Amino acid sequence: VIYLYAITEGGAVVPPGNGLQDAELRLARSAEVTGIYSEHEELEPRPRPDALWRHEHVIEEAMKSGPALPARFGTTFEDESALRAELERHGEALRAQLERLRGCVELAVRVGLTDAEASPVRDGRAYVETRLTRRRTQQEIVGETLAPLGEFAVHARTEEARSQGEVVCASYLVPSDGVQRFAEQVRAIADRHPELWLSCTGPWPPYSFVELEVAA
Amino acid sequence: MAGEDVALVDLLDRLLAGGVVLAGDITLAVADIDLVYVGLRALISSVSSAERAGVRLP
Repeated sequence: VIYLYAITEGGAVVPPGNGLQDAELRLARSAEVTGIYSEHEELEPRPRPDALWRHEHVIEEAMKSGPALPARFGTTFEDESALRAELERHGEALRAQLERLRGCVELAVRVGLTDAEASPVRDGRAYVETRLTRRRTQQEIVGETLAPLGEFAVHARTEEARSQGEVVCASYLVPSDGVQRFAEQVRAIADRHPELWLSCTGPWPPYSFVELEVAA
Repeated sequence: MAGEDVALVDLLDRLLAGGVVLAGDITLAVADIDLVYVGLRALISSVSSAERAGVRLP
């Protein structure tokens, strides 16, 4: 079985380092693009921190020499020719994506309230309604607060946070040379809003801005 | 330490929901994902304001 990390431009070279299970990295070349993969006797990719970071590092290394489309974690093919056929089939679309994302990285921003107070539970329905209203209001406030960040990004995507204590998590596609400026903006917002906590991580490969999903 | 945990959750969110999906196989044990999420999401809500804006630069 082979495991796919990323798709890069036609002229790409093997990035330094190894893949999952310390396996050697290899290239599958199609007419338009190149896939970076590793070969395994047996592989059951588990989303454990070491595997996630290994996947990430392979893409980061690849991005040092040009644009790279990160693959979803856990993507495997039977063999190299199966991967190559898939790269051939979507070659044009993949190359367009590489061009669109050239020179850009992703930054992740999470926002929550520093003191999310608990409300007393009396009437069940009223409680739920109050919470929903409050949550919507929170999202609007945070949305406004984050708006200035949009000026420093090529694209932005905001999602409702899934974990408790968080209001919003957002992804920004930022030119590589604009990361520092973006981070300074996040700090400025954090300083202006002590009632919020903000986290900003990255630069990441453009995971959230790849627009290609082929039904398996 | 907490900054590292946030980075891991951000990575996990992106690796499991983002990226290119080709017609290969995506083989992940659902139980594994839940386990990782529960463990890390508990941590992320405890990030203090002192640790915010921890950008990992290249």
